Amino acid sequence: MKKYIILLLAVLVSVPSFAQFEKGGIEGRIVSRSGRIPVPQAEITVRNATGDILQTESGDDGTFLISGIPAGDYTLVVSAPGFATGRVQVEVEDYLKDIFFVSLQPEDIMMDMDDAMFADFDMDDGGYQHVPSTLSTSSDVFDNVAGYDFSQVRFRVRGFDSSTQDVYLSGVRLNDALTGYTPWSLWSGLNEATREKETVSGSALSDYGLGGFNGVTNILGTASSMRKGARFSVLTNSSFYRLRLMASYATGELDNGWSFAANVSTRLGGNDWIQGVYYRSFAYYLAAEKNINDIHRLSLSIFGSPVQRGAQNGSTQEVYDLVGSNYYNSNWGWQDGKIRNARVRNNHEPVAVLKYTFTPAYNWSLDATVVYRTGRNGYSALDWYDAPDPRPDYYRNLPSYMYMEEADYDKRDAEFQAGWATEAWLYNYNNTRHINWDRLYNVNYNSLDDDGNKRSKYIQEERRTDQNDLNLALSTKWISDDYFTVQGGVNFRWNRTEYYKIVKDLLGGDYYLNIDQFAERDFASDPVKIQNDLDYYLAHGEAQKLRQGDKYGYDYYANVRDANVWADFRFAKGGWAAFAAVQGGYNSFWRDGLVRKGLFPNNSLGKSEVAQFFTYRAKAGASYTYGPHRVYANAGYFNDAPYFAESFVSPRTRNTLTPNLTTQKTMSADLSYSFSKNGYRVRVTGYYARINDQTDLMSFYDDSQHSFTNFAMSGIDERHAGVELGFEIPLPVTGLSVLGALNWGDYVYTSTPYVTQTVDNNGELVMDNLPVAYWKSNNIYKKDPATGSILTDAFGNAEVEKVQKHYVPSTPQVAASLGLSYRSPNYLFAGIDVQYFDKMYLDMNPLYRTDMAVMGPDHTWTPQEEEYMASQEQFPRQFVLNANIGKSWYIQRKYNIGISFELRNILNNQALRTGGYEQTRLIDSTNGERYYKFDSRYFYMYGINYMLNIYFRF
Amino acid sequence: MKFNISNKIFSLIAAASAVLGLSSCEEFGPVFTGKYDEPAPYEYYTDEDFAGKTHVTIAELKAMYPGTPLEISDDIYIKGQVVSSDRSGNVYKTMYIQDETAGIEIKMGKTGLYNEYKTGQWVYILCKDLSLGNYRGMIGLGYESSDPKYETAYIEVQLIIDSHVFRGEMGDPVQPEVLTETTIADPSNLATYVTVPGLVYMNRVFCMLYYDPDGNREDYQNNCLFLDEEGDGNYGINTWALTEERTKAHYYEDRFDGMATKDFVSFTPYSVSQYFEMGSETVQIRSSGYSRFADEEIDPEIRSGAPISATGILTIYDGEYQLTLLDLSGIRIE
Repeated sequence: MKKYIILLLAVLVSVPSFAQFEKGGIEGRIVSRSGRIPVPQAEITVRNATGDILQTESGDDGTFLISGIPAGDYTLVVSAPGFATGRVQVEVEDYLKDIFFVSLQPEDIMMDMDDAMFADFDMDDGGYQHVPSTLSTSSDVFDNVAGYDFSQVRFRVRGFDSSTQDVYLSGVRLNDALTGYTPWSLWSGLNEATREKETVSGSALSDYGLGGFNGVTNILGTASSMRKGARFSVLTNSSFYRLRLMASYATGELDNGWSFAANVSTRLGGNDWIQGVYYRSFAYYLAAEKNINDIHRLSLSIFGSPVQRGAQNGSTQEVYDLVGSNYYNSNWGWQDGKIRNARVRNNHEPVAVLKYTFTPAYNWSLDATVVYRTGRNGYSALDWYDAPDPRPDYYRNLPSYMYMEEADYDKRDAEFQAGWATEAWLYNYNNTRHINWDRLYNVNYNSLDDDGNKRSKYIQEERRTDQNDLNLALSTKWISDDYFTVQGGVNFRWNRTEYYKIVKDLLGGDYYLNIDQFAERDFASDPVKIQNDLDYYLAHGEAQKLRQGDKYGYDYYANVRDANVWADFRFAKGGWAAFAAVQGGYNSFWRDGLVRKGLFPNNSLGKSEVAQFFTYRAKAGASYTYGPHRVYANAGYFNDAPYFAESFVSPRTRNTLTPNLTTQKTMSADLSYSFSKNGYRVRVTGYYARINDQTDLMSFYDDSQHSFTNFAMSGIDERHAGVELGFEIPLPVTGLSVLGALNWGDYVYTSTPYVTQTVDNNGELVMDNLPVAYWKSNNIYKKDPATGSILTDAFGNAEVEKVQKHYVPSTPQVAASLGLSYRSPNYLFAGIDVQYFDKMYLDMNPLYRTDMAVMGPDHTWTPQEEEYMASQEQFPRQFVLNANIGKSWYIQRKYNIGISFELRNILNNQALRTGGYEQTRLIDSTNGERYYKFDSRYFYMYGINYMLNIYFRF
Repeated sequence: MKFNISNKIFSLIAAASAVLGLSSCEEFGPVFTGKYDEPAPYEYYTDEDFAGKTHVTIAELKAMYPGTPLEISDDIYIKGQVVSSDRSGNVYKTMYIQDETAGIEIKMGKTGLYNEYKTGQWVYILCKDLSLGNYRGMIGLGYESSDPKYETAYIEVQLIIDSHVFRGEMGDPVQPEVLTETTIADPSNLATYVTVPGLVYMNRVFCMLYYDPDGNREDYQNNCLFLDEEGDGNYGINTWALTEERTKAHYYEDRFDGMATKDFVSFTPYSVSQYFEMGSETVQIRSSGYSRFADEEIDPEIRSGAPISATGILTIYDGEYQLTLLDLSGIRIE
């Protein structure tokens, strides 16, 4: 839609004077956006409210002339081989109007992305999850670079979390109801069906609702929106999967008003960098649409993406160094001569979209859309009972567990054993580096109970998050005869998601017992407390013996009911445009336990308290356009409900809501200037946002408590500020231009959050609303340059050198790209760019920022402990070089063959950390004065990799 | 414009089936996502596998201990049957094996050993590079220790275990030898599976509690409170040991005789020795606070003097006999 608006503004439509019948016309020239190269033989369709009026072609110099049409509002639909279809809104009057240039965006066959670009990192141990924050491209030069080139380092636009980016399908917001995560995986592998998108960034207003402060992407997803014709493509690459085959076909709108479209694909195989990671995925999309007299439009789309994909895991640098690769993956082992990954995603979540559009008048329309999502979402993992941790990089298997240099590192003095462990890892003796499936099976084979049955000690479980998600959206749009447009709508969401796990594979055993092994650590002699399903135990006198496919562990519904009403008001006159928009909503959710847990017999089965929130959003913006110059600003205030996923202390066991649950408040503003003329394009934006009252929830083993605990943090505030710059400058050589993008961000934590920590087994309080004192910063102390010891003042207090701020992690805060792009008139293109990333930080574990952890077991603060425990790790800055080349051929204007090849990270930089997390465990020092941290786990960007794409279209 | 839809749809279906057909050919590279054959059961080692090595009996091996830690440099091996199980948690990170001559503790340093070494199963141990050491009167086999407090260390590293400890055939579980007042003194019974009959409860415990009066945890001796005085009774500890919860409860009930006035570092499980007499000999039944039966109450009948027979691993600690139960089935009222 943004493209549409820009074009609209670019042709400077004059104030409409309705219902005149004189004949007029339009003339202009079709050019390519980059380099202003004329586009010959472009197909131009003139359309008004009643349908297509006529069709013509541009001449060899790109010019066209349409005359003899009645005055009124028209849409020019311009299509040409190699370019994305453009639409221009034109008001025809009683003379021949010159609309000058209609620029078409070259169709970018490089930008063939799907969510596979984001390696599936297994973040379970850290309690954090990473989801792509941006996966779309647009005509904006900065957004294009950020969306594609920066994606390989997990760049987050303006530092915002993925859940803040609204992703719509057919006008309905489909971010996950429970986490807010972007829903790209639902249509993963359906690039053709989802290619047509409309994007706005920042706090700008979208056509489908208010949107938030981090942009809105709407995927059209209807049969008529798909490019007409058939297309086949083969893609191979070395970083996601070996092979992708895709076929699609769309009829476009037929004479009888019907449109049909289909898209199927498969993605298969592993990649060059991470072993054990693989794809075995399919995708399908079928859509039909009927247009009745341009007044009624009914569309139905059904799609799904059955995916099996092996996940990767981050390890500590010690492990990476031992293995000699930063791409080591501990999730797999050899079985039957094949690689078997223990952690496999297995999803199939079909989606159906039914959309009805009613356009009774040229200036009034009404949309009603229903989206339903269902199916399975599984993620497997190993589970074990009273047997050693089977993961190869478990800390006790590492040399560092035996020996560390520090003299007071507790129980780490076994140098000889450390030597053996080092050898084992270095030379991979007995597959030390991998899961030993043989051993797991043999343990199960020999685990005979009194009846001679094999009780599995190790199994593969599958954690399921099966959603039923129903969305209803109603919206209407009215364009007044003069300067106003009014839009409004109502949205409703009903979601019931069942969280549970099943026994996926008994690994050679006969059964697994449905008891809680963690409860058993504390309550070994209490058969009631260790029951996962107490009612089963009470009825049968023993815990359930689980067979393959049985549910166990936990089982509960998350119920979500959200509703909101929104309206916006736009004004445009001359070069001025402005908008104001408001939204009010009601969000509620609750847990509904389906089993009674032995530990919490009175608080696990049945409904929890219903968490309810009244929410609102408001935003406003203004712009002024003068020739090629445009200045615009947006501001908004957002009062949003927390998500289910962070609102229960321990949703797997009980109904307790986290304390201090409140709405998240965000204030956001941005100011931009853009320039677009003669192939020059520049956009610069300054942005600022404060996000207050965020909550976070983690569960981890707390060594100081000797048990699993739940850590609920509230009151996390962030401040995001920065500048975005994007530019394209044509060079004297035709078709050659310089492209650049820069994001200079500064995203910091600004508050001291509070934490409530409870023991998972009994709900006992460990920390009751205590400050996470070192969350937003820690002090750096002055040191004697010669000895390195900390200097003290006259009173013996350590002297503070500076207060070190803590930064929002998991994205480079500074990212820049500079490149050359070439496009010849005969459809050859090439590009090269160098990228720079800086200010990348490690995710902080709040436990390490508490007084408890900093002071150590002796409860005594020292400046050394503060610097060691509370400081945040910054990753080194990095450069990356990429290049691409491609060509397409048109045969009789009917067939189109294209090939593109891309090399990324040509310099094979293998030191770029894209993220990671701190583990949550503490090690006592021998003298009990301080704690040591467990090593952090890291993820690295892949080294040199390629992508080759060949397609055929007719 | 008219399209021949049926043709196009046909070609689309054809393409789709081609895609599906291609993908059903097995994967790319060594990534297999479909079926995995179950691994074969372990092949058990037999004497033939150790043909080039010298077999020594466990008694012979223990006799090699010279009085100080000894790293074995000869290519010798022992063969014995597993007699311990860490299933209940009372045996921890270690394993006892015995042959017809003696028993010995193998300081494995791993948990959940019972999953991989079954009671009665034969194991072969290549002794070269392992170390013999003495702990309070018990000769055990482990790894060279860098900690001066111990003569041997836990082996811990899987590679050392894999290259020194080999699973032999499953055998029938060893029957415990029933000891008498006389035979209990025979050193060859140490570290073996035995039944000690005729034990009578003495209402006396040994339990060493840690606290922290001065904040100096290095100062080991001064941080311990010994509950071991004869005549002080069992300090109200009527269970086999103390879990963390039970320790806490005891502390707040002021059962630890004055401990309530001192500071604990933290509550942890504690091992407890419950004293029994066998005629003139004293035998402690020592149980870990981490064991599953730690909080089980000792039958009041036993506490009021009913003689029992106890079955477990016989050990010695500075000349005092201790019996380690494998689980509570080792206690039988006579």
